[in-house]
Amino acid sequence: MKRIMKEAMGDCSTVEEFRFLVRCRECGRTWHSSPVRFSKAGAEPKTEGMSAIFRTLYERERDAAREKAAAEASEIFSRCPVCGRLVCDRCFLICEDLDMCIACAKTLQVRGDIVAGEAFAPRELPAGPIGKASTEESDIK
Amino acid sequence: MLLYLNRRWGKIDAAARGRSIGSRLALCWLCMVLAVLSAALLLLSATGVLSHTASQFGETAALQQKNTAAIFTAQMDVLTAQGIELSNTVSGEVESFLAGRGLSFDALNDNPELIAELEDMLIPALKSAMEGSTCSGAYFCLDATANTSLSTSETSRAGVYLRYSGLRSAHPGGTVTCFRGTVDAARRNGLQLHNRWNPELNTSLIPGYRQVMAWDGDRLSGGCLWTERIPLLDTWESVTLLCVPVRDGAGNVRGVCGMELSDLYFSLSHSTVSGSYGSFIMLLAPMNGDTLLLDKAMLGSTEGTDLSASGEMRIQSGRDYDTFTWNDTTYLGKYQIVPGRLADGHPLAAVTLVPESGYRHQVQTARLGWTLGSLGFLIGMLVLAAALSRRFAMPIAQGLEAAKSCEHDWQPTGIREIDELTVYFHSRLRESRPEDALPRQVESLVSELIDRSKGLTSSERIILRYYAEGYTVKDIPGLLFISMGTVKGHNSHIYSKLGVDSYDALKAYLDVLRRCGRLEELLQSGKQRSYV
Ligand SMILES: [Zn+2]
Ligand SMILES: [Zn+2]
Repeated sequence: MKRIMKEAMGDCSTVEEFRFLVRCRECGRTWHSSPVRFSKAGAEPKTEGMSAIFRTLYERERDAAREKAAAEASEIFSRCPVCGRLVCDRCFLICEDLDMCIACAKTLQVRGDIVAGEAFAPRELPAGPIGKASTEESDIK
Repeated sequence: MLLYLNRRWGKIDAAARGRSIGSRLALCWLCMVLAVLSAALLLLSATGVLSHTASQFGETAALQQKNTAAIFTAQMDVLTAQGIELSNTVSGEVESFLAGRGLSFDALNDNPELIAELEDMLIPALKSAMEGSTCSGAYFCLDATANTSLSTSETSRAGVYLRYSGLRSAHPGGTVTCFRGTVDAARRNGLQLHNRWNPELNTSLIPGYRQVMAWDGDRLSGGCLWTERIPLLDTWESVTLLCVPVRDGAGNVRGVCGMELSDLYFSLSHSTVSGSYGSFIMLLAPMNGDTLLLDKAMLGSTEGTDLSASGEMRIQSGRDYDTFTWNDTTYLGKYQIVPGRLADGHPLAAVTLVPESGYRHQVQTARLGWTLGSLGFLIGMLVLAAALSRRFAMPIAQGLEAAKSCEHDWQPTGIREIDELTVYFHSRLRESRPEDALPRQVESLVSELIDRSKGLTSSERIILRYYAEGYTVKDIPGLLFISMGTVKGHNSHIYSKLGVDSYDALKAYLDVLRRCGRLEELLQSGKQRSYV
């Protein structure tokens, strides 16, 4: 699951902090991972060697942040077993025999309950401590 | 679910692949049969039935005996032929000597000078006859004496008897001494006198003398005789003498000549033959019924034994070999009658024998070899059988243990029948576990749970099966590619349907069901459709 998630994740990190995003393929909402600050943010590399070290550190910390973000995303994204798309809990149904996305349920005429139904605001994905979602689509690179 | 089924089927597979109990039993039995066989072998070899020492010894002795008889026969034949030649020489010389002087044979009596002259003339022929044959001495004596007035004149006869002195090997040689004969004749031929010298021979001491003198035959070979072993007068030696008649021109027997075999020479020329049974002794003895007259016998070398030429030796014929008893000592070997006339008329036997102790030693060695060999084989077979039965019995015990327990993670034993039995037992146990064997409360709880589980959807059942297999909530998103939210949604449905209030409570119920062997009922009840 993590591997699929990492492949689907967009990177919107800056020099200061690392942040990733996942877009629901059904409703198009974008979920952002909680930002992780680069340990050397704001520090100026004095020498060329230093800057090389900073670059390496940056890469390493970004990989760790990506890993953490994928774990976070796994909390709210499911892969529809019918169409194979990655959808948010608001677009995923718990069904009698097989859980699937809203679109597939409609096509197959299967009834089910939305995982994250009324509990959240209509156009807001659960955010809080584990990132937040928005409708912005331009963030995906 | 597939994973789980795979495991179960794998076990049944392993059971089908194991080796059959029959083949193991056959192997074990084979070892036991071999062990019993080797025990029988041990018994037989301990009693000496298996070692063919007796017949082997019989063959060896027979071979040796054949050789002995051939040697003796050849030696006697050659000496007889040479004795006859000597007789012819002496006859011719005496004839021409007397004819040349116009004298009759009786003229020799009371005429020492004439006798000395005759002997002087005959010594070279005697000497060359002696040197040309394998003997220790040669002689001739004529029916005449130098002094008929003496009281011993009846048995005292003129003649020459030459012997080797200081014999040391089987090849005769050394100094020729004059044992009997006139001093003048000896001196003229440059011969030393024997230290027990006498001028004439005492015919009473030659057992065959009278017989030969009385012989009236055509061919000389028919008149030849061998004496038994006789002590040589005035010496510590014993000899056997060949007696060949000496005739004059008219065919009357006028004397005796022949060769001497001394006991020393005989023992030197017939040394013992060593073999695995000890040293074979050869001897030539007159035979009287089933008795060998050892006091009249010629013995080959008796080195290493206390056998001596005295007394009698009793023969007891056996299947493989003959037994000879002499002075309470037992010898084993073979004998056979060889051609050759003895003066006393007894048949002459060539004998080959070995002390019994040597044979016994060989028998014991052979028996010990067989016994040790079969004992080693027996021990090896017993160890092998023990090891096999151990290897065989242990998996059975383990298999029975596995069959008794209702654990699902039992190890296949590799014995097909046992594994199949275990699989069968387990299936029966699951099917027919007596419900009233459980406490009432637990039983009703279990039944209720199973009853409630009928309302689970297949998705919930799949998740429940993962929990039953030991996965935790955290593992489910990764396994099913669903969000944690989805998992929690399913969980709340499962909890409410089964009437449990938490994940921990669910795990506890699953554990109870597993112990009762009814977990499968829970996981399989309701709809049998699966989308895994
Ligand atoms: Zn969505
Ligand atoms: Zn779908």
